[in-house]
Amino acid sequence: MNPVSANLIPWNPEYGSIATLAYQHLTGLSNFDHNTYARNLGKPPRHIQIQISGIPPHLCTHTTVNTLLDKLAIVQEIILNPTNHRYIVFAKTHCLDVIPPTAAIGIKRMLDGKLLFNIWPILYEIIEINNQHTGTSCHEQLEQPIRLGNFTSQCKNILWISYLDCILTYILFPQNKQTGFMEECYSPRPDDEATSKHHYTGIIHTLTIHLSDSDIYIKQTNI
Amino acid sequence: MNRSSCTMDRFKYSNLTIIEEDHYIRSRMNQLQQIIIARLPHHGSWNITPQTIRTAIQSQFGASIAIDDISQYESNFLLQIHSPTTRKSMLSI
Repeated sequence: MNPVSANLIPWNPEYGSIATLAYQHLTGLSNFDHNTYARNLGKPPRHIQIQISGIPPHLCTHTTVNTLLDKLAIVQEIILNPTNHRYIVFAKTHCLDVIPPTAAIGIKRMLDGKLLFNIWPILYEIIEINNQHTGTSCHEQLEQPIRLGNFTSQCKNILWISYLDCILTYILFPQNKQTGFMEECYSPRPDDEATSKHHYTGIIHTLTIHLSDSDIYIKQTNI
Repeated sequence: MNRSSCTMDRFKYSNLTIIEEDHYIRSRMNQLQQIIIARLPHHGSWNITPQTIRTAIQSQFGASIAIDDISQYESNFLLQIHSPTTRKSMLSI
């Protein structure tokens, strides 16, 4: 078996995110309540199971899930799979047709007086449930997945947009070239992290893991 | 609980929800300071399991890590290393 290399890096709160200037998005933000709107139109409630993947570990709280789905569904039960940081959510919605297969989650951050968003793409995998969820096991009640479509291509679109954003951020903040990809350039933040700056600590540690069937050999490389 | 959200429907990042950083998130961030990310290459597919990762860490660093302390995030693994000494060893050249 060919070797597989993995880098060992300390976790940081920006890992896996794209930093983008917030002002570009502020005018497009809305709080439209799709679920209430659909309910008022007389659309019937539907019981669904949503698998949510992509939420970064530090944002994995029930409150985050409730916030994500706040205008889309009434959340009934939230289960976190700690082995892969994926959520299974049981919910009731009047606007099933509006729940997107892909979305994004962001958090605010101040850098050099500029408001940034750190953004991660997330996926919703939705399954409609025949009968109302009883709270224990619903797998036998599930219908065919209704929205397993084009996740990969939509994710690619999100990432391409993210990369373009990143380039723009580099141009606007040439003194902070680490802004876009912070994962290897992080130093711990003080308690008031929302207003703190991030500085590259200088050394990046890279390890290469070699797999040979069941054996694994690791060697360290300094880059 | 101080958290709000806003959703972006039609602009670049569709369906963007902004989360307000609160006490719970800061608490989680403190817990995660012990985490080391084992970042695998983007291309290729391997059947790497938490057991495989545990064996690698044991082999390389002589450190024992519980399976429950290994989780997957996207295509990478998160390793919760409780011992500062082991953590330093794993991140040192």
